[in-house]
Amino acid sequence: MSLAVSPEKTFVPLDQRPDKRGRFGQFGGRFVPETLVQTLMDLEEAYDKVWADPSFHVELDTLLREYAGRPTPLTRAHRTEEALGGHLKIYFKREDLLHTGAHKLNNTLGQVLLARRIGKKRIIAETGAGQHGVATATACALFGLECVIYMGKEDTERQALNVFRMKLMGAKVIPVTSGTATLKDAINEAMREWLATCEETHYIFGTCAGPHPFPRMVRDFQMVIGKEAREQILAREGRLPDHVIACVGGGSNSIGIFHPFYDDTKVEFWGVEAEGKGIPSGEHAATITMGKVGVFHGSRSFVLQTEDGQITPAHSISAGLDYPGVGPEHSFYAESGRGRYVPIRDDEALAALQKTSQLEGIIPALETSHAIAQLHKMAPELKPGTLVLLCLSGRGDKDVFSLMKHIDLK
Amino acid sequence: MTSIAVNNRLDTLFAKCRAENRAALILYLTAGFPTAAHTRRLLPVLAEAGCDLVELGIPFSDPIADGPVIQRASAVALDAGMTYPQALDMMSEFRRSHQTPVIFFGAYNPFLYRGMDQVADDLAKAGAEGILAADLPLDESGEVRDVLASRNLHLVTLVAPTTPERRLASFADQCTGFIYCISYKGTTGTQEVTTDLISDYLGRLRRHLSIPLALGFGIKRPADVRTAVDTGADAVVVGTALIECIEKAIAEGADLEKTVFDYVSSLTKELPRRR
Repeated sequence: MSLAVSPEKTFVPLDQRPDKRGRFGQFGGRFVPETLVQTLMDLEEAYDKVWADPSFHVELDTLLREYAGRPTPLTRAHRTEEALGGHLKIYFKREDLLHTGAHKLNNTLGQVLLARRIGKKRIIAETGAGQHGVATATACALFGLECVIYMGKEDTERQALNVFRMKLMGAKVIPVTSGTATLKDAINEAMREWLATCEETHYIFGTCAGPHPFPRMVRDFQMVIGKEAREQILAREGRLPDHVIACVGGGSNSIGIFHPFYDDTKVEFWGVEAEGKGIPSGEHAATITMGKVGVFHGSRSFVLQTEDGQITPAHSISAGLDYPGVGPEHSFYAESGRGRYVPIRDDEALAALQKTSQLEGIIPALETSHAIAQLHKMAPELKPGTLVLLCLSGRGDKDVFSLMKHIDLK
Repeated sequence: MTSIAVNNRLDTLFAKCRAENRAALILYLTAGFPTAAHTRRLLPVLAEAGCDLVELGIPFSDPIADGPVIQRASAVALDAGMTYPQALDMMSEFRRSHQTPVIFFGAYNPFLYRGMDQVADDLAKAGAEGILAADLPLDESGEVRDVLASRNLHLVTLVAPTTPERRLASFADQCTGFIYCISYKGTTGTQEVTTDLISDYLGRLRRHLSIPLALGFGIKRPADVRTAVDTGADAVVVGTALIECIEKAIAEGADLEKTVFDYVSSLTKELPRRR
């Protein structure tokens, strides 16, 4: 891995991404059956309108502050710094402290407000780790909207706690048994339902993938992470970070923290993908590292696929990264060189999780632990005084049951 | 945008149906279901029973527009080792003995993975008439349409009950061959088709579109074909029911060719227009 400082490049200004066709360079677009096209066009138009409406932002900002607990703190990771050799300054952006325990609520509150404004009273969503499902159920409970969550059967088992939380808040959870019974199949099933119900139901897509306008909408609602972090780190350090690190499944927390630094071209982005049991094993979810350009779940992006163009089942210890696709804006960052995307194995993430629990008194989510493992890995090569910002996207409480299978504390 | 003129067996078919004052029967068959050998056996049976056009389904791992029956057929075919090159072989073999038009029908990704230039070359060589990619809507289809047209192949496009009238003019400008009109909101084979459901819809489409309109999704029985033909469809598409017919014949140990032949024949009886 080379950490040589990349020559300053001129990147396309961010307000042009995506373009009117929902494209980030060659990526993105709206590849869906015709039945959904008009609904997505209407959604785009409605979204453009509310995003330009100051009263929407007042409503959303108030909710984020008074209900969700924003701004989230920026925490200096002193003991991690020490353990890594004492030559770095490391800050965690604490999305684990957001209500419901992960960054997902930023998006669901925004989209539920949007759904209310366009008169849709019924919400569907997919979920992998269950965090997006919980965040959707939460926002729906808050506004009294009917909520149906599609979740792969395998995920309902490894994330039983989150299934219970969703039900407790009044959501209906539908276990999906088709395909690999994980996140991608939950999205398939939610899309199939939406084909029939799109005129009265809003689909709250959970990540910055899917057909236009979802990649842009989800990014815009998650951008609050990076905007806050940018202000906080400037206030604390008087300068921008050298590196921003975040995990990437579909990529919503990472795009949320990266995007506001897009024009700060000296700030390097590190998107950390799940390498599962290792690339050679074939059991991984390293979509940008190993995928090829394809069209999956409504957009053109990197996709894990076979030589016959079939989607390859992903594998990761963390349900939230277990996805063979990735948001088109990440593919654009990867292709244009604005961001670097690297894989981290299950065992490396597990070790980072334990280390962070002991060093910081923070149990990070398994997803987040991939980003932390990358920090541990690259630390020896970083120059003294390097300033690192890491998105601590969620807390690990939801993972405790599956962690007990992997970690022996006797 | 003006499309390059495409004229192949598919266009000849619709001209012939018009002259005979009847609708065309389009059958969807998942390639490789339950095995490649079955598809090779069944393609000639379909043609001989009166099928006018075959949609050869290219199975995909994540078919979002399909109901449970065709999802299952795709999964079975993929598990049995079905691939895109095998579908091309089937196509070439079928073309040596039959002139029935064939379009490849599936998700966009398996086509995209090969590259559309390659797909167009392969299909032209194998003797197919075009493709339909369920998740390639009109607004994303320009380049693909041009590449296919340059090899005299159609890109068949879907229209849906949710497509507003104001967008139909661009369909009229760009679509060639025929337009596949999805009869209801939802996935394949999961709802019934009624006159009430389709008459306003087909009427609205007809005001803007002069190319043949094929109605599909939910057409299973001869009576459904009659409903569609009486309502003014130029063609009907049957998919789920054919897969179910094949599943049933195999499960019951019946004569597969005869069962399929009889089922298709029962549908062709309803194709003539009453006036």
